Amino acid sequence: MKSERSQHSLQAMGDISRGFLILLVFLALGELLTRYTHIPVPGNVNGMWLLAVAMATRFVKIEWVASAADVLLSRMGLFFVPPGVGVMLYFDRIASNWMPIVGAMLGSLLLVLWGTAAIARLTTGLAAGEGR
Amino acid sequence: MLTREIWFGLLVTLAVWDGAQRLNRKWPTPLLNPVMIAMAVIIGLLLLFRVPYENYNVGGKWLSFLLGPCVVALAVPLVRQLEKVKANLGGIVVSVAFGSVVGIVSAMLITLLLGGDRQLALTLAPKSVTTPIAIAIANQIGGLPDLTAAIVVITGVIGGMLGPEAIRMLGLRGRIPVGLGVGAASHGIGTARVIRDDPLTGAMSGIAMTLNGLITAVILPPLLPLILHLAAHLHPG
Repeated sequence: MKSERSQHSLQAMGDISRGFLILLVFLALGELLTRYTHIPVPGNVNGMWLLAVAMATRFVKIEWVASAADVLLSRMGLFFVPPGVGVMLYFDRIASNWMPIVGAMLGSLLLVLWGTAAIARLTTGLAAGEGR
Repeated sequence: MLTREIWFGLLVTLAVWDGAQRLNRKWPTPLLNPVMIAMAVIIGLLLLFRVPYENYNVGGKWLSFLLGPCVVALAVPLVRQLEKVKANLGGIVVSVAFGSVVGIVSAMLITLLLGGDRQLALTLAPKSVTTPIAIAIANQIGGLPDLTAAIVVITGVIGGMLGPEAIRMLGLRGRIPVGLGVGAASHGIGTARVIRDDPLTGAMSGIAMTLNGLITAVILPPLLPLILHLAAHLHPG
């Protein structure tokens, strides 16, 4: 698993600043799509699909973005820390109703994890021999 | 005020993140999830030194901005795994759609059964999906969007901490089921964890996160009357 990752990094010899440029261009395209179509999807999600299509059709080469993408994705958790700290503003409101909030949050989290994975177990991976 | 400088929030976040990473490397247990540790330590520091969140976030938002390009970058692992995505497309859509319905219905029913009111149920209904979509849905259906955002983050942190372990606990193995489950249940924060464990799991989690956002945005509003009707029967009064 680790070796697959470092192999990717070795192949990804593209220029990092060009990679960031492409990511920002697709972020902007995604934001524009959100603004003008009024679909309830954030611009970054639209940008992801647009970039995936562009790379799958070889319009954008994966090597151009790979190193910038790996730089970001390998520390994705870091970018969630500041918005996560913002939870501190809501402690009072959560505490005043903690039973239903904590119960529904944990109960529903487990059910989605198990439900999705169980159906996926039945419907995916068998043909691809993805047994692990 | 020194704490309102851009460098303050950046310095605090990067320093604490570095410590959280070292801790996680030294004791590699999912309980020491770096996002959770960093959040808890920074919240503790800000409360201790009475630094308002707005001050911290002057610098902090420079890091959260990078979430935008980072989500776009999820296209790379997706395309690297394109063969497996294509081969399993039907199963991916079916399992994430199932997870979406389970998430909405269970969050609302458990809230109501534990004594929450209708507005709280609407606030929790979109809690499995990525923050911007969850906020938009909460707005649309009459929940409390900022409380939704906080609950989404906590859900993600817990799912990122224990999601893969919870799935394996049921005896469900395989990188595709684990990736789809974590992405559907705990969006980007869960994805941030599994993408470091393994590329295929990460790619599947990224797909599940975006797909669940789309499906939930589409089916939640029409599903609402049905769930509230069901809740009225289960829990009269």
